[in-house]
Order: sequence, then C-alpha cells, then structure tokens
Amino acid sequence: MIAEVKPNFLKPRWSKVFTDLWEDKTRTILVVASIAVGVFAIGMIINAYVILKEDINRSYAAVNPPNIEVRTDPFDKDLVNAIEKIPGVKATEGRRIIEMRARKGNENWQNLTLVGLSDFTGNINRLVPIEGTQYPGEGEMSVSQNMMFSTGFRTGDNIEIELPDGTNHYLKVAGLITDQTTSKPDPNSTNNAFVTMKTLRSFGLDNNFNQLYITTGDTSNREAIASVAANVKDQIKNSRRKVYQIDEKLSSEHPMTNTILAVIGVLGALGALITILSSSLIINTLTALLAQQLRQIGIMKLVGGRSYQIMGMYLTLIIAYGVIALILAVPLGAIAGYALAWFIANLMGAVLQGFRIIPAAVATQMVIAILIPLVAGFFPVNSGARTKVQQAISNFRPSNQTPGKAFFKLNPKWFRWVSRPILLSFRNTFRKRGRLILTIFTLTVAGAVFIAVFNVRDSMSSMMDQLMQHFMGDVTVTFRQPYRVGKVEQALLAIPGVKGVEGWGGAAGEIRDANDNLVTRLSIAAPPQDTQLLHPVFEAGRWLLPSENNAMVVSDTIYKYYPNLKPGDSLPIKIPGRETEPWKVVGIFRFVNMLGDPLAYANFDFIADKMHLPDQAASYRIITESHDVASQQTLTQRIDAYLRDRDFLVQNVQSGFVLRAKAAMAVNILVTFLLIMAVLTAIVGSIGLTGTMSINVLERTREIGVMRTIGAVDIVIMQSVIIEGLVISLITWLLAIVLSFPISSFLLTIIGEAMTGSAMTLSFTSLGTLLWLGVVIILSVIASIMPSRNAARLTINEVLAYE
Amino acid sequence: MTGKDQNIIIQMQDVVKTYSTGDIPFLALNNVTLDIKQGEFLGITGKSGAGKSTLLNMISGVGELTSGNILFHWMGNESPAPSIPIHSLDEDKLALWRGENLGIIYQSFELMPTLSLVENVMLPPDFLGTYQPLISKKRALELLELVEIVEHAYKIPAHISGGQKQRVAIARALINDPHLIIADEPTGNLDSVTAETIFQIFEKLVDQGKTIVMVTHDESFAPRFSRRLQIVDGVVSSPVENGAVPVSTVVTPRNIEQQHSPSISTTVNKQAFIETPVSRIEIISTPVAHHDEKPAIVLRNVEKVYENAAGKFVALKSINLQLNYGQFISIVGKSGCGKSTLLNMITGIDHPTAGEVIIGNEHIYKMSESKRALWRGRNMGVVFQFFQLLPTLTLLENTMLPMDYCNLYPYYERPERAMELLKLVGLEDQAYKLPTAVSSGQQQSAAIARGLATDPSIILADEPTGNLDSRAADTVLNLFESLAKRGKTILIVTHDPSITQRTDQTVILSDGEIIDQTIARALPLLSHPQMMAATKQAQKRKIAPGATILRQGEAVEHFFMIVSGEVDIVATNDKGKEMRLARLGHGQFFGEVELTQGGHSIAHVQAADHGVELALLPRELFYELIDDSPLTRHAIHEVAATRLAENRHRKTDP
Repeated sequence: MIAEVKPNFLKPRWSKVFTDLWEDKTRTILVVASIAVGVFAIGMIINAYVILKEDINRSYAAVNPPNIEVRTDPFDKDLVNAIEKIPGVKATEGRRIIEMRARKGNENWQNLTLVGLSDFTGNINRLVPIEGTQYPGEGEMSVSQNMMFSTGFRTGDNIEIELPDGTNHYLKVAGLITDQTTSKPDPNSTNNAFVTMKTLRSFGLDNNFNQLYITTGDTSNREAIASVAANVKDQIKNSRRKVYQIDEKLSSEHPMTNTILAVIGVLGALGALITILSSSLIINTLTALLAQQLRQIGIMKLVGGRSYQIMGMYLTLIIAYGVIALILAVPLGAIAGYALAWFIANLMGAVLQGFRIIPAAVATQMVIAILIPLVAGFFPVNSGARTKVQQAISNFRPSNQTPGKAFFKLNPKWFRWVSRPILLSFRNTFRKRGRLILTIFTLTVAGAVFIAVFNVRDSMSSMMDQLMQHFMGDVTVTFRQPYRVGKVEQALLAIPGVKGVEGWGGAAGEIRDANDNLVTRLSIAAPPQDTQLLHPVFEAGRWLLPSENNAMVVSDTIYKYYPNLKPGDSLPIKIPGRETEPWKVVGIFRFVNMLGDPLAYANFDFIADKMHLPDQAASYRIITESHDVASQQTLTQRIDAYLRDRDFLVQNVQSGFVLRAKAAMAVNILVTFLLIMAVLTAIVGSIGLTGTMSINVLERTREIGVMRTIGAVDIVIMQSVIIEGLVISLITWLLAIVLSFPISSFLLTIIGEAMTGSAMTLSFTSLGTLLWLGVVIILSVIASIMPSRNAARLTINEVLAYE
Repeated sequence: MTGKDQNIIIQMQDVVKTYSTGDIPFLALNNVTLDIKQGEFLGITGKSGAGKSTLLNMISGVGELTSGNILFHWMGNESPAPSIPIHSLDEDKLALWRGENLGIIYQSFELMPTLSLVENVMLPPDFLGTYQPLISKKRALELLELVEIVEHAYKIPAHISGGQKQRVAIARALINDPHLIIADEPTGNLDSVTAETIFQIFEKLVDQGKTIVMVTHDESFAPRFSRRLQIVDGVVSSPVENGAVPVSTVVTPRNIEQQHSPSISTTVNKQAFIETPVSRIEIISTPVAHHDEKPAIVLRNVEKVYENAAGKFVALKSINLQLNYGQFISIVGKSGCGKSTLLNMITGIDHPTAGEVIIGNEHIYKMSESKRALWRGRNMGVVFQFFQLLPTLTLLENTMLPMDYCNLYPYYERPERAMELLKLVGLEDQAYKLPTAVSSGQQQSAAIARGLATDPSIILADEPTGNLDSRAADTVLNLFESLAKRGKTILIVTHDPSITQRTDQTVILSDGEIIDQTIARALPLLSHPQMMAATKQAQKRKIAPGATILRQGEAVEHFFMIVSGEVDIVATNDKGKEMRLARLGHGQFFGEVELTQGGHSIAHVQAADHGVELALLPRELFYELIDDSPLTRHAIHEVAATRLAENRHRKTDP
C-alpha cells in the first residue's frame, strides 16, 4: 500500500535539470569553469579599473600634491612668504634638494635625492609612512619606497651618504614612506631621502631652499594653475633668481592615472577576449551535452515533450551553469581585482580606500555570466530541441555518424600507403568540424595572445635598450668638474675590464621662437662623433658628420612642437651664455614622448667650444669587456676606487645594467600582468582542448571498444587519441604564430601610447613561439591522455555497451 | 470509412517506408494496410530487420512515411470522432498527440537516468500540462504499485534491475491514461520470469480496455495475443498456423547442401567467392590440423555475475562447454538468456566471475586486457550486429586495420590482402567507399572481411544478421558456411531458430544455463524454461553393448532420449519370432508410446553394438511437460501413433 504521499512541488522536468547539473559533475565543472574564467577576468579588470580610478586620484589628492613645482636658485623663507601672497596661491613650501649618493656598508653606491624639509607636518605633498617612525629626527632620514623604486634600505640601517662637496656622513633610516611624486617614469629618477633642515645644517649646509611647492586655490583648472605659475615665475625672476624648471599639475589627477587606466584597458580587452573564447567553449560543451542527451530528448518527445519545453529545460540548465559561475567568479573577481589595484597603487605610492564590491563589476559579470552562455548555448539547444524523434532515438548507431565530408573529397586511394591507425587519428581530427573550428579558434587566439605577450615583452625590452643608450654606457662616470678627455681616457683604460671610454659633453638648451620666447627646453648631449654607444633609430635624416657645427640630431618628441619638421630645417637654439642661433636639424630619431623635453645630439667639439670647455667633459661612458650585472658592479666599484685614489672628483659611477634592470621593472610588471592574462587565455584554451578531447573520446567510446576487439592494445589507443590532440595543437600553433603579429602590434600600439606616448617597434621573439609550442604539446598530451586512459581502462564490454 | 463504426483506433493505408542506407534504398515497409481495433492485443512478430520497429515508429509518428497514410480515431464521447492524420502533424503537435493518446514502451527501458522512478513516471503529465504536485504523484505511485515496484519509487534507474526498469517504463506509458499502447520488444532484454510478468501486466491492461500493439520475436507469446500478424521483409500478413512438426525434421544435424538452397542475390555472389583462388589469400589455416588434437574452445565452470546497486544478476551459471575446430556453431536462446555474455566470455571481451576459458592452448584470462586485445586480434575475428566499422575509414582501410594493429603481414602486402578479402565477400568495387555509402548487408560483409584480416582460426559473431533483411542475412550466412567448410571455426549468437538449421552444433541457453542438447533435439517444441527443467531432472545412464534397457511387457517409468550410441527396438511377432523393429540414434527417443497410450512396454529395447548413453525423464515430469506444451504433446502423440502403426504392421509381417 502507498503510504502518505508528499506533493512534489518541483516539476519532474525541472528536477531533471537540477539533477543533471548535479549528477554529471565533470561536465558541470567544465561548463562552469568555461563561463567562470571569462566572468572572473572581466570582473577582476573592472574591479581594478574602478577602484584605481576612484582611489588613486583620491589618494593623490589626499597628500595635497603641489600644483606648481619650481626648481630655482637658493632662496630663503622670505621668498616663500612673498610667493604665498601672490593671488591664486593657497600654500607654499620650500625644500632643499641635493643630488647625492648613498650606500649601506660596502654595497655599491646608489644615487639618492636628499630632500630637506623645515617642517614634516607641512601641508603639501604629505608623506605617508609605511614603516618605522613617522618623521625622521636629527641624523635620521626617511626613505621613499615603492615597488618600482626601492633602495633596499630598511628601517634602522645606517647609511653612508656622500654629498656633492665630497663630504661623507652617516644617516640612520628612521622609516620608509611613500611619495607619489616619484612614480612618474624617468630614466634618471632616484629615490628620495627626507631629512630635516636641521640635519642638513649639521652637514654644514645653509638654511636655504632650492625647490618650491605651491598649491593653488583652483586645483583642477589647468589654465588657472598656469596663470599662477606665470606670476610665480615672474616673482622669482624679479628676485634675481633663475627658474630651472617649473612643472604644473592638477591635484585631482595622479600623473600616472591615464597611463595606468590605459594599461588596465589593455588587460580589459584581453579579458573580453577571454570571455569570447570561453563562449566558444560553452558552445562546444553544450553541443556535446545535447548530442549526449539526444536520446533522452527523443524519449521526452515520445512522452509528450514539445520543443519549447525541452528548450526551456536546457536554457534553464545553462542559466544554472551561469549562476554557479557567477557565485564563484564574483567574489574571486572582486578579490583579484582589488589585489591588482593594490599592486598597481603600490607601484604608484598610492593608498587604496579598502576592499569593496563594485556594483558595476557585479552587474557586468551578471550580464556576461548569464547572457553569453545563453547566446552561445541557444543554437545547440535550439537544434537539439528541434531534432526529430527518430533521429534522436537512433543516434547511438555508429553507422549513422557521418564523417567530415570535406576531408573525404580527397581520393581515399591516395592514402593507401598511410598507416591506418595514423590515418584514423588524422580523420578523427577533422570529424566534427564545428567543434574542431571552435577548438582551433580558442586555442589559436590563446596561443596568439601568449606569443604576443612575449613579443610585447621583447619589443619593450628593445625599446628600453634603445632608450637607455641615450642615457647610459655600460658604466657611466660623472665628475663634479670637467676633465680633459685624454686624461680620463688614459686613467680609465688602465683599469682591467674597461674596453673603451667616451667623453660626453652636454648642455641645457632651449628652443626659442621668432620672438625669442621659450618653446621648449632641449637636452643637448654631445657624444664623440664616432660614438660606439649610440645607435638611434632614425625617423628621418642621418647622424652628424665630423666637424658639422650648428647641427643636431633631434628626438621625434620635437614633432609635438614642430609637427612638420624635417631634416634640413633650422631651429633657433639657445644655450646658456650664448645668443640664440639657428641650428640645422640633420636627423630625427625615435624616442618616447613620456620622457618630457626633446633630446638632441650635437658634435662634441662644437658643444665643448660653445661651453668653453674644449676637449673636456664631466661625463664619461665606458664600454666594458663583459656584460653581466655582477662583473659590471665589481667594475663600477673598481673604477670608483681607482679614480678617487687618483684624486678625480667623482660624483658617481653607475652601472648601466643595474640602472637598466631598475628601469625595466615597470616593463616587467606590465609584462607580468599581460602574462597573467595570457595564462588565463591559455587556461581557457586548455579547458577547450581538454573538453574537446574528452567529448571526442566519449563519443567514440564504442569505436575504441571495436579497436580493442580487433587487436589494438592500450598504447595504440592512447597513441591514436594523442596524435589527434597533437594535430589540433600543432594546427593552432601555426595559426597562433600568424595571428600573434596583429595582436602583438595591437597590444604594442595601445601599451606604447599609454606608457610612452609613442608607438613601439614590434620585434618578434621565438621564445614565446617555442614556449607555446611546448605548452600546446604538453597540453594536448595531457588533454588526450586522460580521456584515452579512462577509455582504455573500461573493459571492452562496458565500452561496447556504451550509448 | 469511419473508424468509429468499426471500433478502429489506427488505420494504416498503403504505408510505404524506404530508408536510404548509403547508395542503396532499403524498403522497410511495403504497402502496409492495416486496421488496429480498439481493445485488441495485437502481436506483430518477425525476424530482426523485418520491419517490426519501423511499423511501430510509423504508428507513433516517430518516423516519416515515404507514402501512404495513417489515421488515428479515438472512440471517445465526441461524435463524430475526430480522425487525425498522424503524419500531417508537425513535431510539436505530434508530441502533444503522443502525450495525450499514446503510451510507448521500448526494449531498452529509456528512463531519465537522473530522475527517481516516481519522477520518471510523472514526466508525461508535466509535459502535457496536467501535472499536479499531489495528484500526479499519487497516480504515479499507484501505477508503480500496479507494476509491483512501488517500494523502489524513490530510487534512480541505475539502482534497479532491467526488469524493474521496464515496469517503470510501463507505468510511465500509462500515466496519461493513453488509449493506445505500443511496445517494441518490451520483454526483449528480460529473463523469462520477468518477461512473463510483464506480459501478464499487458494482458491485465487489455482486460481493462486498453489497445496494445506489441512487437516481438518471441514466438512463445504468439498464442496469447488476441490477434497476431507477422512481418517479413516489410510485408505484413497473417501467419499460417503450423501444426506439429515431426521431431525428425526439427532436430537436424547440419546438412546444408541438402536442406538449404539459398537464393543468393545482390551483394555477394556465392559462386564468385567459392571460386576465388585460395593461393593468393590464405584463409584455410590451422584449424584443419587441429581437428583431431585439442578442442578449439573450452569453458570450465564459467560463471558471470553482474552486480550493481540493484543487486546481483547471474548472467551465466556454471557453464561447461567444449567446441571443436572447423565447426559452424550457433548459440541460441531468448534475449537476456546470456548468449552475448557467453560470447563475450569466449572473445575475452568480458571477464568471467569464476571458471576458466581456454582457447586453443591459451588461458585467455591469465593475460592482461591489453595483451588479450592483441591476442584476440591475431586469433579471433569478431563480427557485431551493428557492424561497427570505423566510419572515417574506407572499407579497405577498415579491413587493413587489424593487420596494422597486430602487425601481421608485410606492410606493403596489407592493401593487397585486404582487397582480396573484400573480393571474397564481393565488395571489391566498394573498397574505397566509406561505410555510410554502402548498404547494411555490405557493411556486415565488410565487417566479416575485417574479421578475416588476420586469418584467425575462430570467427565469432553476435547477431550478425540481426540488423539485416532476409536476403542480406542469407548472404552473410552463406559466407559463414563457406568459411566453416574451409576450416574456420564459426560461432554465432542468434535468436533466429532458423539459423540453427544451418549449423553443425547448437548451444541453447536459458537464463544463463545450457540446455541439454539431447533434450532440445528430442523435445524441440518445449519452451526453454521447460527444457531447462528437463535438463536439470534428466538422469544420464550408460548402457553396455547388447544390454537390455526395457523388456517387452515391463512397466515403463521413464521417457528415454538417446544421448549417444544407438538402441535396437526388438519385438516378438505373432509367430513368436524376435524381429528388430527399428534402430534409434542420437536425439531420438522411446517410451513415448507406453507413456502416452498407457500399458506396458510393447517391445524389447537393448543397446546396440557400441553401447548407448541415455537421458531419462521421470514419467511425472514427462506428463507435466507435455501438459504444459500442447505442441509437444501433439507431436509426441503423432510419433507414438506412427510407431504403433509401424509396429503393428511389422509384427504381422511374415
């Protein structure tokens, strides 16, 4: 007898949907993972984007950054007070900036900017302590630190410093602080060390400042700030001081905001790509699901199920997959997004406001998690639900499976001598063309992105090399005063490991307009005419000829001011102590806009003449015999000691590699992000390949049984599946190489514009290509081995009974 | 006409159905005109591939008609009754029509694997839109109670047995209270007891006024249908009811040349393959040499037990079997009796739970699965019901594949050898075609060619004709006969009794046990469970040459069947002179006259020159068996009458 019956409120068909979801966990995991990867990536990027956009500027504004930054001749508090009275000026603060070098124990010297403050509680550019005490006392310093710029000094370290006058002193590190003004890329940038003016006085220095921070009343209006800056400049000039540099900026916008957001935009584009790729996985998996359940669909139709009811069931299943993916991807995306934002903020010395859920990210994730699978799944579901009953219930017969027709347009007689097991693998590869195309698409794009990231890395590295040659030799020695080139050469060449020496002159030039007004400052470097260290990439024109006077090779940043400039044109140039005179532009080389003022090269002798320092230079670039970091560091110390022993007034000796490595950190960080995205796309690709191979093997389980019945041993079956996986992988590898060019180019253009303000030249590296080859081979073997091992483990009886 | 007037629920008019398999169209239903009356229990019988399932698919609207018309008339309260031309409905309307009017039951249960049994049963009302949480569930449970499985209502299908699943499928078919139930081999995969239970449920439903159309190849159900039709090569007809078949004509040792005159046509030219020069392609190999040495196949106490959440199912019970080389052997029995399992034990496709399988000299289950695969590839050719050619390879490539896998024959010779084999089966012109481009019969011939590729001494085939029409089936059987003549050992599983007439030896299985061949030969019209009962109770006795078995006038307590050797029937004539009335041999029987006519032995029975082995059935069992099998009783009576008449005639013969 039937006991008491409880009603079933969940209709059987919905019960089927949910039990299907639960019972076939592997498939559920595969589909959910496919959806979740894309949703996660997008969520992470949106979270990071929004958090950074909101917090970086807020964090920047919170330190009350200066709107005007002036470098001038030494001044005292009176000038500070006078400038504070200028209309529009809200607050002022004087600082003493001293370029010096520092070291811990016997480590290599490193350049550091010593910043003297009269009051640490001052209002402008508030420093945020991250370690140690908040403010340094006498004989102490606080060192600015962030991920991009690190001295390696820790709180409590005793640091030896050497001031420009050659005197050495010791300062104790009182703490580490973040200083957002140091985050802007600059090949010559150094960390700041903050001390009290009292400490400076203890070194025998006076109480004067040489840098002025000004905040204005209107902090978000560029014109208002410029107008105040002009008045400030006039006032300083009126006090008979020279203004060496004046920078204007908004307090509401971190100087790196646009760059960072643009880079995140690139990551976002990759995230979108991952989403598209994951949707192709969803199509594949759902097509296979529908194929597997075709017989059940047939039975449902036999017992009265109509197409729309069956469609409803499977679309609900898809929504359920989406919801599960969402449940996983929303918190993970939020956490990863915050972590990414935190990391980037750290690079910039910014402080985030704390973890939070970004509604825009969640909303976008919801749309992507539900809509994309629904759209992707609609076609397989629709065609599955509309399959005629007869077709649906007779699908298990192998004879009804049609092979890929196009492939067989080739005459089978041609393959007479190809081993049948190999032939079988090849033909199986092309059997389900729709699935194959989607898999190839996914894996190709994943591979192309992967390879492109390495190309971008290589291109950026080339760009860095290109850039660094303008600023550094293998080792660069800077003296506090010019020396005769011959003398220095003689001294340096005597040092083992030194292969060549070049004395470089230079001057701080200005480009003037017809009214002799400043157009832009121009850094003029004067290498020997036959320099071995400079290989500029020319946009137009040529290098300087020997004895070519009033001629220069200028960086393409000049186009900002003279868009139509071409070789042969002249520009009015003024160098200190000389009248403005026309210089002929003989060549224009590629450079980056981000590094500010244009850079120009003129002949050494010409500049030396102009500067009244014939045959003399204060900067020497050394070509070393070996090019590894360790030997360069040793050589640097040796040169330093050697020159000091011979009473040269050395300001610093720097290893090019060390600087290069430091400067490359930003690039490496970006590449790391790109690699993370590449790995995510590779994960999507691998899910795709694994899914495809699993489905292929699953569908052919019966055929595998037949193969074993006629003598195929386990290894032959595994080999057959692995070859199939390898064929797919190698096809995608070749296609990925081709596709990596436009993707590399696209990424480089965006990243170049965002990071350097200029396009970068694409250089192709085989590293990514070979790595990806390794990845796809390993991937295809793993993706094939697992299902084929499972299939080989089944007894033939189980296999033949498989439907 | 109006269906209502004549109580007709389904009316088929000139229904033709043609399938296109490869390049060759196949006529599955040939101008079928048929009326199905309300409340009848219509049985449709026929061999596999005859068109039975196609007929049901046409009635349920599952398959599309090539031509003709099928009308559904419901004898409801509406007047006049609506006549629905089933094949004019679109897919969704058809689904709705099926949901409202039709209950469908298939051989292979077809339940939703993730739903509980009660949910499976509730699925149709859900689709129909009549689902009510409490009422539907109550009805589903009532139906599960009707089919005696309500105690498992909340289990999933994987946790119940095949028979139980079929009961659920019946409950599901009934939940919407359909007017018509169609069942396609519903007992096909069930043991005989379960099959009987299911059939009784159908009978109960018919008593309740349901109309049932059931397709089956199990002839034992035939008398229980209210109407029976047979289908042969797509033509539906009423069967000619056979009378008793004389024992001697049923129990037939193989004599193919005499008994069978195949009408070979279409794909395989028998003449062609018989005349194929064997010098180039060696398919006569070791078996001839093996004949007098050791048996080809030995099974010792082989048991196979399947276990799942539903419990244990014993598929084979202590099977002992010895088969010799160079023979054409059939394994017969109803679906679900363990035929395929037995074949799988011999091929090494499945593992026995206990016992030994020795093929040639090899204990095949002492090898690893992978090693066994290679061994099998080299020593056995396996042919499947659904051909199982690899669809991406041409017929030639399919044929070469075993040589590649087993690394037999030089690489460059393989295409040539494969082509010779295809020529042998008449497929040389189709060699470069894919399996889908040729007919089912041709696919099976190619599968046989593939089975021969490594020149194995044993060919095993599981229902090789099960999916073929009668002509293609005949061609395949001719091929097997020819191969057996050339020394191959051929072992085929079939449920088609007519095939057994063409084989040297028949192994009959019933519920996992082998029926004694002597009993099967002597009493072929018993049902398999009856044969099994007889097998279990028969006593075997060996009698020395010349020894007396029965004395004339002695009371007869047994039914005697000859296992081996011969007996002489000797009687004393009117003149008191002893005379030999008959000499009986293997498969023949005696004692039936006395048991059926009453009285004492009418003759003296003694072992012939070489002695005899007998199987004895106790008289009570004999009576029980013939009482339950009218056909057997009739046949025995006829034999007894004939022998009595002959006896009288000879006794009076001077």
